[in-house]
Parts: sequence; structure tokens; C-alpha cells
Amino acid sequence: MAKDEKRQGKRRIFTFAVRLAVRFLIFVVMLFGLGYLVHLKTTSLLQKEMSAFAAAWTESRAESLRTAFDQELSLLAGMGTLLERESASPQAILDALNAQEPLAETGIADVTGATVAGTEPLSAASLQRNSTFQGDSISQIYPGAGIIFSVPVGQGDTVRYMLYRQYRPDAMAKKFRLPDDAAMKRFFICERSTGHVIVPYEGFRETDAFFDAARRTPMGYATANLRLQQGHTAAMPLDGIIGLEDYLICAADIPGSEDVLVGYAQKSFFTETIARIHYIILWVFGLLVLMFSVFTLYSFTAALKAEESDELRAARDEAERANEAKSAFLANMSHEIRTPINAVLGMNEMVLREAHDNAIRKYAWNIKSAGETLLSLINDILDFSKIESGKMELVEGPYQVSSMLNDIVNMIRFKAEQKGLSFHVEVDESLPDQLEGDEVRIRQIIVNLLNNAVKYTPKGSVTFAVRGEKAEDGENLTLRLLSIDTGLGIRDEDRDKLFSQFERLDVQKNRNIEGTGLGLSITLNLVRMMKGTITVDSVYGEGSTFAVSIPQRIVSPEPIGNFQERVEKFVMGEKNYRENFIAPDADILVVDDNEMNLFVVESLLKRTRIRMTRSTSGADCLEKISQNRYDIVFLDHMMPDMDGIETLQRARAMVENQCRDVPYIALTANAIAGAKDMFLEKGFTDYLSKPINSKALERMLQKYLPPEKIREPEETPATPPEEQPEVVESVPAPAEAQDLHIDKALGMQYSGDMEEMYREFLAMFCQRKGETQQKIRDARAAEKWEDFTAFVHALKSTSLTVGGVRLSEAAKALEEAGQALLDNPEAREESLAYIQSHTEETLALYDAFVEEARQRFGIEA
Amino acid sequence: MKLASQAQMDRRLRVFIIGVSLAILACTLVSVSEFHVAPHTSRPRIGFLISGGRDEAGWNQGHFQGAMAAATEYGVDLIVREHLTPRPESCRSVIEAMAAQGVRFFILAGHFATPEITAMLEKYPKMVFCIADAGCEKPNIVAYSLRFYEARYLAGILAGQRTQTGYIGYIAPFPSPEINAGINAFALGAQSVNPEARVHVVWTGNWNAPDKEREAVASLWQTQADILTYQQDGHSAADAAEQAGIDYIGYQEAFPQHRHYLTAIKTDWRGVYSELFRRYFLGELTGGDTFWPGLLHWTLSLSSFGDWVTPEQQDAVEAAELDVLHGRPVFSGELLDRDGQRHCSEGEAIRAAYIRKEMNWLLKGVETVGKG
Repeated sequence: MAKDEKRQGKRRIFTFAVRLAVRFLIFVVMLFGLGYLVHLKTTSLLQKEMSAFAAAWTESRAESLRTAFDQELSLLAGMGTLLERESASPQAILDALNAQEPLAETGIADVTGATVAGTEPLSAASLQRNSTFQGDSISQIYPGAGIIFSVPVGQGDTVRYMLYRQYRPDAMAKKFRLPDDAAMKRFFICERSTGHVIVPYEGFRETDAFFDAARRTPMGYATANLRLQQGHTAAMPLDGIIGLEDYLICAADIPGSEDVLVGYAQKSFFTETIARIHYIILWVFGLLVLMFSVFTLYSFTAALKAEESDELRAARDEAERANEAKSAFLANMSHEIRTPINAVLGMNEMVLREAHDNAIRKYAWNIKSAGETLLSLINDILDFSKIESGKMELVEGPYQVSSMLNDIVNMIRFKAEQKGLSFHVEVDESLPDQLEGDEVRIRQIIVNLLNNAVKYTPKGSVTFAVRGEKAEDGENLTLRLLSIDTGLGIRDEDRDKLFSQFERLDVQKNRNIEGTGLGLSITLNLVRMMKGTITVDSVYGEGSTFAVSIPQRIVSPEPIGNFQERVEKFVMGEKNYRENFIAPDADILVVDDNEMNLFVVESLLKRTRIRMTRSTSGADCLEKISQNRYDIVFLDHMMPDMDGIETLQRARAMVENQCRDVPYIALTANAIAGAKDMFLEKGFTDYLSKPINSKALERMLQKYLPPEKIREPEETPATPPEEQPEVVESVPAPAEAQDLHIDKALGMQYSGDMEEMYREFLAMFCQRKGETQQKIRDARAAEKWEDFTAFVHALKSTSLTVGGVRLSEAAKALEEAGQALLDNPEAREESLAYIQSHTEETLALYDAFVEEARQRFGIEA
Repeated sequence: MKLASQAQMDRRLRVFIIGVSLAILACTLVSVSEFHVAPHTSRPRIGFLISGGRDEAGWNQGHFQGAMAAATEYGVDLIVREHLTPRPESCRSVIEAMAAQGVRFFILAGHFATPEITAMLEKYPKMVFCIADAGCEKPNIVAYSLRFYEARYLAGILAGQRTQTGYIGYIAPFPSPEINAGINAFALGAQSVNPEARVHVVWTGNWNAPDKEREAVASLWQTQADILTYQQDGHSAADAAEQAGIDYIGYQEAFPQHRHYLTAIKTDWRGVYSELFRRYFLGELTGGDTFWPGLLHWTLSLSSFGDWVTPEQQDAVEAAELDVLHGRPVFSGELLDRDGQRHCSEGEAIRAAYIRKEMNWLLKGVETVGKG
């Protein structure tokens, strides 16, 4: 396997290397091709430039020759003037001229051609005489004969003599031949048309390489002549002529003559300076190659990296998919596990309540403790997988800080005290009581931190501090929550791992402490979701401080006040709470339009032997309180005709009221934040949320009943369980568990955990089916939406009491639609549509519920 | 699916890269090959103006064909304007129009050497105008012509030998240094072989006057001239002479089929224009230059002789030609005008510049016929 991989890796490197080499090779070939082209081009350009340069050079030499000729002519003209004026005798003039240039011959001729004085003119020069006698100064070379300079001599419009000076070939060569110079050498003066050499260079021999003896012209003259016909000058390389490859032939017309100056330029003379351009080009190309190499290398490595990162990405995607699958699996598992654990816990609760054998109770306690731990672990996992899959959402709303803190403190205090730790709570008195945020999640954060603190603190104390830092705008605040313990502390090196998933620190030492290791990870995620921060300060072995800061919105700036005191008071009250009490002398009135609720309360109070009077409407209540005195009045909030608040107001206003000073406690299904304040404001003493919890009810009674009426229960021997029909619950297959309409555990909770009572509730609920359905249908048909809403509201709460979660949910939706219909006429259509389409559905759920009750519990409607 | 599209994209990318590389390579190659300065490709244009028609036999046709042949030789465009009246306004508009077409070099082959026209031409200092008149001297004008007098001298020798009556006719438009030089040289030639010979000149008043030319022939016949020659654009005089049975010496064109044709003064206009263009393109030709070749330069000659010309007569002409070529100018020795005034003494020669511009006299022995 590893060997294979290694081999593969080697092969990959090899292919990369080959690819690189090929690319590089292609580039080099391209570069060479281009370089060659550029070389050719520059060479030809250079040659052109060189030729032009050489031609210009030659031209300047030809002009200098012309100047020399002109000097001769002007000298002669000057002498001609002397002759004209007869200032000097012809012979004297010729003598002077001969003295000036011994190489030349001079003479004077007349119109007939006769020589007046001096040397006979060259015979070829007769052609020139005509022009001279017509007034032109002429210099003319005659091949093989020499050169004659002639000027006219005469006064006015006529010419009398021709004064001339001539150089025979040897003399001409000596006088006018051009010496070699730095740039050029071997100058010939040739006849333009034929190229025949008139004046060769010094030391010329017919066997010289520069002389074309066959044609009697300078070597390469024929091609130069072609060029000359298009211009005054010509310069071209002598390619193909052996021995002269390094030369350019250069030719230039000698102005005003039929002759050409031909010379040879050595290429190297010109190229010596120009060749540097080649080096520069070479440099540039070299640099290009270098740059390209670097670039190729770079792109190669980049490609390599890209390939690697592709692989990495694929691997990461794979891992993410696996992780998602894992999370989904965990979420499903947790959910599946939760259901049976709930069942187990519910059953166990029953065992706890009904068993009187201490050993059994102890076992049941153990089950409860383990089960609750297990449940909390599973909840953690569920939360975690929600966070992982991004499905965790914050549900923000107004909440009461004191209420929240209260619950938390109670829970933690209990745990702390059980472990023998002292638990301190410090709440900033100026902290506003009403905030807006996700109460449930904040609660979870705090509980997680404090639970950890209690868990990891073997002795000493746990302190919980709450502070609020108001923002400048007064609308927001940073809620600071501190958990300070004197526990084990965290090692510095472990701090990074603190918030990671499934990570547990100091495993050796903490192996006795249970937990998934998810707690802090979830906490961190929740804090982050709330845009808050969490910091840890810890000294190993001395304790840790966790500080959480979460921004919250302030709903009302009213401060929380002395929470400490309230807690103390509550704790005191709590301490007075007795699990079992009786109050046979107490009378209470419970007002609710729903008989089911009345029945529930009655059942829950059975044990306390309190005398309870039932009332089903506000009017009936008023009548009852005018006649009898009750110790407490429980008044339902939502009632048809006259609601709880109105009833209370009337009761307070009523003169013949016998219960004017007794506590009125509101019963409400709308246990929203702020409800308590609302009720207190309206004159209620306290409120109790529905469905009614037996413990809450008992607590309420203990609080508000006159203390003298509360007594210890008489020591009654444990009554043997009544003979009652065995609950034949056909437990459905687990797969169908979720399809159940009846959540018995929930129902039991609302039935004081009494099976018997629950069955009674259930039977009653089933019996009322027809009546309830009819009422709802009628209200809908008559479009009495207020009644309709009240009826579905009642259905919502009663169905929840017997564990009909689904039915309750459906009824709740209908209630909301009805409420919307009443409150918001604009959305009328929408709400109506919802009601029309969902009412029958809901009622069908009712049918299904009854059917299930019959099947599972044998209850006949 | 995904893999397939990936592969497709890879392929497209590769094709794209290859395409771009090829394009860059092509661009590089092209730019490398275009490194040198682009040769200027537009053909130069030369304006050609004549006062007659290009097909009119004689002066006009001779110039046009010569210029055309030279233009073809040099690969230039010849922009021709014929039938142009020699007036400044008409010339200006033609020159402006041609200049707009990019013409910078003009040949004014008609008889445009009037002071008005040359003054007008001076307003175009960046152009070069070649005017077919040896006497013209202006900064942007090249005067070009031929030393016709040299050929006339030879023709005079032939006429002097052949005349029976001693009267030789000469038809010319009007006096001018160049025309005078022709007449004088002709007379000089005739007198050199026949001292009694007289030249009768008839002025037609115009370069192109066929009727006048015919009339002139008639009047010359009346003065008993038995040989005549002419200097006109056309050949009306030649035709009339042939009809009248008078021997004649032609100008510009030879008619060997004519019974009375002796010879003609022949011009190699192509050679003239060729040299003019050559010098222009080489930058050797600038305003103020004079281009005035003669017998020496092989652009001027006598055409083949007519059947009646005897070998002796021919020899005499050729001997005289050699004499000229070998150095004895036509206008040399003692020369007196009709008023007896001496313009050249024995042993002297007249300068060419004088002949071109200042020969305002006619030689002794020259007589004008008619109104003159």
C-alpha cells in the first residue's frame, strides 16, 4: 500500500519533471527561432545602415574630389582673367601655372583649335573645346588620356581663347588619387557607364583582389552600377566574391562629371561599434529566458499546489459529508433515545409516587437521577448537532430576568448544597428586569456554566454574579454573567481545548465526572450566535472564572431590585413548603368555563382535603362570592361573556362581596412574559399558568391560605392501592411511537401523576367530544368568531391536559387564526381560509384521539 | 457529468491558450519583419502641360510621346493637361488642381515662357517647373531646351549647297533670342558654303497658325525661294511646300515619302525628358538650372537625307558637324548683323548664355518678308 503510494508519488514527480522539461524546451525552441529571426533582421538592418553609412562616406570623398577639380578650374579662371586683360603674357601665365603644379601641362588654344602657347591639348579634349568656347568651364576625364580642365578666356559676350591644364594618367593618379583612410580603402576613379578604371589606388596591380581584370573594372562594379543608376551612391556587400567577403563596395558619382569614385569599406570597421547592439539583444534575450525560466518554475509549482489543494478540497468535502452524516445520525439517535427515556422516567415517577417500600423508592431515585443525567446528555448532543448543521436558531422575545434567575438559582443551589458547596448569588440591583433575548438559550448557557462549576468544584464555593452594562443609547445592554468557583481550575496548556467538541480536560483526574464534553462547546456556540463573548480566567488548582457577555435589548428600564433578598425570602418560603399537607378547613372557589379544568383542580386538591367550590362563569362567581366566603378565589382569565379581569373588577366593586380581602389568583393559559405584571396590575394577587401543575398549585395554596388552616397530614397507614383495572396499554411498536396522538406522560403530569385521575380526565375528554365538535362547527357556521375562538382555545388547553399534544397544537393554530381574524380585519381572507380548511382537520384529530384512547386505554366515549 | 464538463473546460482552456500563443507568435513575426522603415510606395506624379493636343503631329506629339516614354521608364505617373491656353489664370487653375493630386514637378512643354506666366509660377516656391524655353531664368523654374541652332547650322549648309536661286525661305512665329539664333545659324551655315545665299524670313505671329504657314509658303515662292524651312508647332508648311513643289527641311518630324523632303531637324525628346527626370529624382535638378544640350549630347541631329541630296552635299554637312563637335562653335569668327554691327570678331566665339538670352539681331543676309 505504502509502497504503491510511494511509487505513484515518484511517477507523478517524473511526469511533472517531463512536462516541465517539454515546456521549457518548447519555449527555448521558440525563443531560438525568434532570436534567429531577430538576428537576421538586425543583421540586414545593420548591413543596410552600414551600407548607407559607407555610401555617405564615399559620397563625401567624391565631393572632396569635385572640390579639388573646382579648385583647379577656379585657379584657371583666375589666370584666364589675367590673360583676358592682357595683364600678363600668355607664356608668363603658363609658367606660373606650371610652377604651381609641375605634374600638369598647360596651354592656350584659340577658336580654330590651334595652340597659341604651351602644350598641345589632349586630342580627346577637342570635344570639350566647343563648350568651352561657348563659355563653360569644364573638367573632363578621358580614360587612358588624362584629365583636362578648361576655362574660356574672352571679354564680354565672346570667347577668344581656351586656357587649359591637363594631367596625364600618371600625373592624374598622383594628383587626385585618394589615399586609404580609416573607414575605406582602395579608391578607384572609374568611368561611370563602363566602370573602366581611370585612376587606380596607389600601388595598384592588375592581380589585386579588388580589380576585376576580365572586365577591367573594380571588383563587383556591375552590381554597384545598377544601384548607381537610381542614386548618386551605392554600397553593398561583396558576398560571393572570394577574399572580399568582409568588404562593401561603395561608389559615388563625382558631381558634374561622367565618373564615379569606387572604394571598399571593411565591414568590421563599421560593425565594431554596431556589433554592440548584438550584445545588447543577446542580453535582453538572455534575460527573457531567465525570466521565463523563473516564470515556468513558478507556474509549475503553482500548478502543483493547485493540484494538491484540489485533492485537499476533495478530502475536506468528503470529511464534511461524513461529519454531516454523523451529525444527522446523532440527531436522529438522540431523538429516538429521548422518547423511551421519557417513558422510563415517567414510569419511574409513578414508581416513586406509588411505591412505599423504601428500597424500591431508593432504586427508583437512582433510576431518576441516572435517567435525568442521560436525558441532559442527550439534549446536549441534540443541541450540538443542531449547531453543527446550522439548524440552531435563536428565538428572541421579552423575558423577565428575575424569573429566569430564580429558576436557575433554585436548581443550582440544590445541586450545590447536595455536594456541600456554598452557593452565592450576586445580582446587580440596577439591572433592568425586562430584557429581550432568547431566554431559553441564555438559561442554558448559565446552567451549563454553573453546572460545570459545581461539577468541577470538590469543595469551597460557587459564586454566580450577574451585572448589566448599559449602552449609551439606553436601549441596549451587555449582560455580564460570571461563574466563579474554587474548583480544580484549568491548566494553561488545556485552555485552547476548552471549547472544542468532545474534548475533556485532565481526563485522568476527572474520570469520575460525567459529561459529554459538549457543554462548553455548545455554550460557546450559543454565545457566539448571540454575538457575545466568553472568557476564562483560571488558576490551576485554585479555581476558574467564566465570564460571558451578551448584548441584550432593554424592554423596560425598571431595575430588578434586591434579588438577593427576594431569593432568600423565596428560599425561606420554599423551606416552609411541605410536600404533604392537609387543609380540611379551607374553602376555595375555582372559576373556569371549562369543566375539565375544574375537574383537574378538584382532583389535584383531593389529597389536601380542601373544600372546593366550582363555578363555570364570571356571573356565577359573583353570585357565589356574594353569598359565601372563600379563602382563595382562582379565576380563569379567558371566559366567554365576562372574562376573569372583568369579573375581578366587578367583584372588587361589589358591596355585598364576602370575599373582598381574599387573594384572587388568575388562571391563564397565556403564560407569556409580563403576564404576571399585567395581572397584578389588574388587581390579582398572583397568577397560575395552565395547564395546572400540582406542585405549583400546592405551593400557591401554602402561600395564600391562612396558615392556621394548614396542617400536617395525619399518619395514615399506607393505603393499599385500590383495586383498579389493570391498565392495559397496548404499547405500540416503537416505529409508530411518534404517531401517537396521546402523550400519556404529559397527561399524567397534569393529573398529579395519578393514573386513576388521568383515566378519568381522559374519559371525560372523550365524552365531551360530540358536544365540543358541535359547538365549534356551529360557531363557525354562524360566523361567531369570538365564540369560535373561545371554543378552540378551550380545546387547546384541555387537550393538552390529557396529553393530546397534536390536537392541542392544531387547536392553538385555529385559535391564533381566529384571534387574527378578530384583531386584524385586513388579513381576514387569509385567516378565514385557514379556519375553513383546518377546522375539520382539527376535529378529525379529536376523533383520532378518542379512537386511540379507546384502543390504548379501553376508554369508551 | 461534472467530470465531463471539467474535461471540456480544460480542453477549451487549452485551445484558448494555444490560440493566444499562436496569435502572439504571429504578431511577433509580423512586427519583426516590419522592423524596417516602410518604403514610400506612392508613385511620384509629374504634371505635363501642353498648349496643343497630344496627338497633334509635330512639337506637341513629340514632347508628349517623349515625356510619356520617360515617365514609363521611371515608373512615374504623368498627369497630362493638353489644349491649355498660355495664360496665367488657366495655367494656375491647372497647377492648383494637379498640386492637390500631389504633383510637385511640372513640365510646361507648351510655349508658356511669357513674363506673366513665369511671374505667376514664382508664387509656388516649393514646386519645380520645367519650361521648354532656354531663355527663362527664375528661382523655381528649370529652363530646358535644345541647341537647335547647331542643327540649323548644318541644315543651312545643306540648303546653301542646294539652292539655285540663292533664296532660302524660313517660316517662324516671331523674333526671340532662341528663334533668332536658329535663323542666324541657318544663314551662317548657308553662307559658309554659298556666300551669296539669302534667307527670307516670314513671321507667322503664332506657333500654331496653319493658314499663315501656308500663306507664308506661297509668299516665299513668290520671292523665288527654292528651299524652305520652318519653326512651327505643326507641319502645314511642309505639306504646303510639298504641294507647291518647293524643297524643304522639316522640323521635329521627317517625311521621307515627300518628294521635296531634304532632311529634318530631329529631336530625341525621350532622351531629354529621361535626363530631366533622372536629375530631378536624384535631386540634381533645382530651380534656376538650365538644361540645354546640343549636338554634343546626341539629343539633336538631322534625320536621314532625302533622295535628291547628293553624297557630296551629305559629306559637307557631316564635315561641318565634326568641325562643331571637335570644338568650333557655330557662332564664331566675324559676325555682322543686318545693320552691319559686329557681334563677334575673328578668333572669337559667342558665349552660350548670350545666345540663349540676348541674341536679338539677325545676321547680315537675312531678310524678312511681309509685314514682319
